[in-house]
Amino acid sequence: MARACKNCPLYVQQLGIDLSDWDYLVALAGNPNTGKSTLFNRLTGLKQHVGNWPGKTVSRAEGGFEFNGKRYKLVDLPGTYSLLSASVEEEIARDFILFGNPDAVIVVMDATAIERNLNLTLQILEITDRVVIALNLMDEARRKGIHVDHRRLARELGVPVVPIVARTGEGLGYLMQALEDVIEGRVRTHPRRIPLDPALEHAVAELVPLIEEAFPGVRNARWIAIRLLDGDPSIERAVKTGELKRLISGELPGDFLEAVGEQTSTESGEEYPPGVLILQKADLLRMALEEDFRDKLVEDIYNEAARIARLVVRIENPEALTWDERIDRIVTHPVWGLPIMLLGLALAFWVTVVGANYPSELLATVLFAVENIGSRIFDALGMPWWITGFLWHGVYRGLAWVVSVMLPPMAIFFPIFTTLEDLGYLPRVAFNMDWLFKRVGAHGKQALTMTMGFGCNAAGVIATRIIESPRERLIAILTNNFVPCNGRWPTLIMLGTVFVASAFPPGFAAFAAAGSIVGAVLVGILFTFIVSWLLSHTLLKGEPSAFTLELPPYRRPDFKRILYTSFIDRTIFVLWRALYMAAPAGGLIWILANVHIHGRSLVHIIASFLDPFGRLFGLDGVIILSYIVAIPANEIVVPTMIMAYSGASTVMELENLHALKELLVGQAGWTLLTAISLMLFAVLHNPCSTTILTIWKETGSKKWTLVGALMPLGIAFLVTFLVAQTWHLLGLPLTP
Amino acid sequence: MSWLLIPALILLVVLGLRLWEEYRIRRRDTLEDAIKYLYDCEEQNRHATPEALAGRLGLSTRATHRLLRRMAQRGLIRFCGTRVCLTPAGKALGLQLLRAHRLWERYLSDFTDVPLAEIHRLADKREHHLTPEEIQALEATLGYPRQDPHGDPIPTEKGETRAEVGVPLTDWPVGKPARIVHVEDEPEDLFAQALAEGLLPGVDVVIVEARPEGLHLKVDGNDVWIASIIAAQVHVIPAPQQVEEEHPPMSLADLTLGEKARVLGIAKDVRGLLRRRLLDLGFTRGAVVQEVLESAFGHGDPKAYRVRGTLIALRREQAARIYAEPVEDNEE
Repeated sequence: MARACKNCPLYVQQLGIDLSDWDYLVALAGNPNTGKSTLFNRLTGLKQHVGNWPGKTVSRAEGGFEFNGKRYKLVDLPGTYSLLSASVEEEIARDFILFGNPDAVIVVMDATAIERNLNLTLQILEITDRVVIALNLMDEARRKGIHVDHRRLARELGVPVVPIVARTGEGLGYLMQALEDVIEGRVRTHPRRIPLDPALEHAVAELVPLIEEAFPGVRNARWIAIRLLDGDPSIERAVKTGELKRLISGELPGDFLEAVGEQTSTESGEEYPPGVLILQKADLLRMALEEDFRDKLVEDIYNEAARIARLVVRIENPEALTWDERIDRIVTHPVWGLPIMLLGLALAFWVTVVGANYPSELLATVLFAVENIGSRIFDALGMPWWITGFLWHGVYRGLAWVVSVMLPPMAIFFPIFTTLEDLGYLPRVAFNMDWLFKRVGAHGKQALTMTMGFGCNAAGVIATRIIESPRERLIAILTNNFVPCNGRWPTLIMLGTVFVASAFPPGFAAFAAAGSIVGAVLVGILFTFIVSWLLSHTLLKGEPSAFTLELPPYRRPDFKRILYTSFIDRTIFVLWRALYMAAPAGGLIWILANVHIHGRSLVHIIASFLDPFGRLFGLDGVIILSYIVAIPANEIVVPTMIMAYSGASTVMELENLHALKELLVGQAGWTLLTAISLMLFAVLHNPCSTTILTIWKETGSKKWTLVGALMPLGIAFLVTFLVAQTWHLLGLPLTP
Repeated sequence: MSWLLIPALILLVVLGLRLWEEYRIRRRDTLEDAIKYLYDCEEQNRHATPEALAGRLGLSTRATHRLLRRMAQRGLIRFCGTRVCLTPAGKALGLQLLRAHRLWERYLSDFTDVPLAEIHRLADKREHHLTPEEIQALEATLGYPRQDPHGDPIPTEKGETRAEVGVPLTDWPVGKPARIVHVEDEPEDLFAQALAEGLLPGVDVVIVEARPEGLHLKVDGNDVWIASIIAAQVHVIPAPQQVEEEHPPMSLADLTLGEKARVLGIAKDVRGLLRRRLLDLGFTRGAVVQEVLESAFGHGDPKAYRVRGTLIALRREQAARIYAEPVEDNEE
């Protein structure tokens, strides 16, 4: 059937984000790494609504498609292994299946790991009987010699099972047909219920009638009883307040997704007496159970999963060393592992830096040409000079600058990163590097979020969601700033080429420049480790900690999805940021440069006020001012400094490096110390406002946001102060 | 250097505010510590005198009197003769603090890697900062624990100690050993019948068979039949386990490359987040696990295991807490 479908036409019409008046609501559930999002994209097309679940830092995607004249709304649930652990992802998935009243749930299963995937599947079958199983990755299973008897699986589970290959679209037609059949009642499902431990079964049997009496029409009393015995806070609340009644009857305001967010945030004081009674009964029954009854529950589910898997899966020559294992042996090899990793990362950066050069210049030329034309039109229209200046030479120029510096490297770096992620290589990097992170009390996956930080620290902070342990995740969030992001590279590159390179003979110049930049990055990484160690031994003592790392099988990346996620999720995010953050900064710079008091510009006045402060750290007033102005976007540090030194009235670029050096050393009085201090400051100083905002959103805590913002700033000042004072004490040379 | 003046001034103001805040918190903490001490005394039927309180908190007599006055003004205590008694409001606060303390200890031991020796000190600080709602949420997250890590009972919101309350025998599952903790003494004739059957607090029983009209019990090896109305009078808790689990000889950390083992279980002291995570990943009793990869850089730490068809990497500490037994290669 699976093979035959390669030729069968697919009647699925992708609807993208047109989610108005759908006929059926369908949820997509499954383990991580089962190709769930590939299937989602296949069905809904590339236009989808991507955001977070209300009030949660878990991403959520929605899309629509049409099949046989019916409109379906598809909601992608977070990928989880289970619904029992009450992690945020599991709570969202569970709440949606339980209370979202989906017309059906598609459970995506990985055909190469049936036993593991059955764990979640069996749990979902406990909650709802409107389930269709999409047995994905059939091609991979065939390649690995794994045969899955999907008909037998369907009989065992009591719901339709459709083999598919989401990447190629194989079998999707059958999947849609099965989905429609289940929703419209043409296929009646008889989902398998997990056989429970006798003691637990006894307790559940006591609760079920009470629940059914208190909440007439409830479809999954058995599951609710299990959750009450387990002490699930959100279910308890729903029972205690009687909220469950409203949830069952579907009396929910318009969009359920919003309702779940509200429901958990609003704490209504009223109590529903039968509900309170049920809770008391559950308390009593829980006491009669062994303390490890949760272990037994999971064990029962997995035992059932193993039993079914034995019946339906047949593996040809299971002992053969698979390709995956061979690759794993190489990439984690004591001799080859590290060089492969460093080479890979170096290549990724090289491609990014070199590849971004040309588009960056092109963008700058085009965008600045637009500025010229725009300002001339304004002039021709007879606008006052200050309107033209503020809008075109201030706001627009700030914007153009950030976009041209930032966009091309992002557009190259993020797809490379996502490709490595999809390929399955990045988890191996985490595996290789974990011993180092373990020593400082951090998680191996922090290696990945740091790599992401080279692209953008805000993106790096969001990427820490892959770290499931709260304490290690906080460490990764708070230290991400120590890897210099795209916006800080220009500063480092400028300093490396202008100051360091020129101190060496021409043959060595390029190496010296590169060496100094690498040195600065290494300082940042060093501080990541020092600060991680300090945090895990002081502030973060007493935060929950755990380590598990899944090494998914290597997979051919889905390039369409990669381009989509890296462009929409990450690159567009940066563009928005440019609009919101860089535009006002550009306007501010223009005002500072063009408002004069007693013949001196504001830049001048403020810079000379800050100068003695800056000198303490080997910097000067202009640099401090530039960093204050650049809080929204670090890209504008260098242009702001040039503007302030040259006395120009707008942000500008200099003809060549020689002129730049002339300006900085000749006019501004920079020394070698200034360059070194600035390099250190650029790497260590506070995160930009977007990153701070992201830290706040991700941690939901003012305290950690404050720590994340002020701790690096304090360290930057401390380090530069020590360096500058030591330099002075030792009487080291100042001339570069 | 006039520019220094402004930040210095701001710093001074911030510092002043901070100190004032600190003072207020200190005052509240002392008051709460006093309440906790008094609550403890009442629980254990000891007399609480102002002198004992002063000694416990390390305060001077004058300071103690000021403190007592403050507590009386807020309606938390009253004086009964030479003793200090808690009012209902004082009791409620004492209970809240005790719950906060023990639940937080439980949290630290279950979810974090803070050493057991430091747990008490940290909880002593934290107990003052938890609101009743937070305490409730914490209790739910921890799965309604009955005891703190030191074995002291954690009372419920209403002040009942779970371990002592017990469950009516009628709600107890068949076949599970139970210990009687309480027999209702009202009505008297039922109480007398229960006693006649040897159902006393401290006695261990097992339900052999349950019928609507009554229960078939084993009491000290004797077969006993009792009516349901009598069984409802008898409250039981799980019978304490006689044998402590002995450490099996081997764990997943002991496996060598390519070796297989069958999981026997996860160590009892692995709790909370990590335990659930490991279970969800499939490290349940009976699962066959194969070690397939070792980190070359960390001298074999972490290691990756194939469990239920997926590769999962664990650090040595975690792998060492999953007990296992060797299996033959051709098994499974």
